[in-house]
Amino acid sequence: MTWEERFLVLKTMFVQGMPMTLKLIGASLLFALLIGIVLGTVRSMKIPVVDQILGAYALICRGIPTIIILLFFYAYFTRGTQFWISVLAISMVEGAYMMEIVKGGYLSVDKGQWEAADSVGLPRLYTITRIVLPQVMLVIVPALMGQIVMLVKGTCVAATIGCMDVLRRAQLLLPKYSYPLEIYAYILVIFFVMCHFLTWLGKKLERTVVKRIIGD
Amino acid sequence: MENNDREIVVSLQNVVKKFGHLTVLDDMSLDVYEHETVVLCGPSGGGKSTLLRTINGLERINSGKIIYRGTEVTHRNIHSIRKHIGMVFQSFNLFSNLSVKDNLLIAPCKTLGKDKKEMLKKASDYLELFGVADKMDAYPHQLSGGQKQRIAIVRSLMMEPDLMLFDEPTSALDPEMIKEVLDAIRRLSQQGMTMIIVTHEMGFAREVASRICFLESAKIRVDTDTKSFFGDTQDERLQQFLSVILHH
Repeated sequence: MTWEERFLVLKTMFVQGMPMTLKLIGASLLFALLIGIVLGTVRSMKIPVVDQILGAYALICRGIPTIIILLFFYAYFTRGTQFWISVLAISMVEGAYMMEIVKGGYLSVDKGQWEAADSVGLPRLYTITRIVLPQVMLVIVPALMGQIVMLVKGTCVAATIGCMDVLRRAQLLLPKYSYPLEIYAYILVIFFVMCHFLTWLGKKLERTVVKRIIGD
Repeated sequence: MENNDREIVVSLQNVVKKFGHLTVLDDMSLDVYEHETVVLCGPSGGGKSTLLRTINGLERINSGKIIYRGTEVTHRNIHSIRKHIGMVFQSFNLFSNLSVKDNLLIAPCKTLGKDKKEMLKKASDYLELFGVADKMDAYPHQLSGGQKQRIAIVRSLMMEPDLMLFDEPTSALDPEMIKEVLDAIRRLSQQGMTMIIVTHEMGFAREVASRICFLESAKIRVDTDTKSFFGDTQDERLQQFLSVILHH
């Protein structure tokens, strides 16, 4: 590959592919976190029937590869762009994992915190948002960061249904240049850097979160 | 009795509480009058803590009635009644993600809609009074057990309670911190606060209680004024309990 070709390949991947990859990560992360926090909170309440439904949801998402769920959705939904179908599949699966993490966080909060809030007459929802959820966050940040890295890696599946992310853009370049090893190496590096940047950011964030929540 | 002309703050009438097949409160009745300090004692498993917890609805009762200032406590009105009842827990239960200041202000500002500035002044006065004036900005994990418990007491007082419940307030404390917490409770007793205290500190009970109840096997076996409790009691089981607990 000449330097000129190399420049073109990288330009295509970064200028055309990267924005889509980042959009996929951003949207999936937002919905997955939302699903995880809301449903995890509901799951911690152990409401009959609702809890069984959520348990089944977790069971399904954990027992099927994301790529198969994605392909199923792609076949099922006749409307909707590849982007939104990918976001749906990824956030559904990752949301299920996050739900279980959040639920675990709730279990770790001492029930005395609820009782103290009850005894001074604080409303339930206020107790959750102001007292219990911050304590849940404190416990789950490490596990959640791990799951976010999984989500970032998992966005690659979107390429299989033709979502124009970094991977897909690169794959389309393959027939034109006969250097698959080099092109795949770029993708490899891109994801490696993104994930470890996130891990590093997570560690920093963890300290900030701890400081904000319990004071040091 | 002198109690006849005083108002009853809380009255338990034939209260039954079961955990599965286990009966923890067996047809219990108890009246607590204004300005009284009632101590509940007895062996563990006797139902002391459960009795206390039923009063502010932390445990639901199976049958019987709990009447607070003439109103029967139900799951509908428990929320508004709780605002008048302070509760101090064995394990303090300060909100661990909030500073002392927020721990004290959150309830009066949120549930009673009080002015924040005014409450801040009140909080700092109380902290001063209980010897923890410098802890306003500390977080719970930076405090000793004794400090946590005194602040938990202040948290309840911020709601201007009509009745205070203490569930073994010194059981989780190191011996040298017990005194500072008991001093705080003693102060409230002297000010005429109506209180129900579950405790094993019999020396303290003798000093502050106006009445002592001895609970065993889900029943109130003895309910008498403090003087006769420690005097010539007829109850054999109580004699046994006292001889063990006073000479340990």
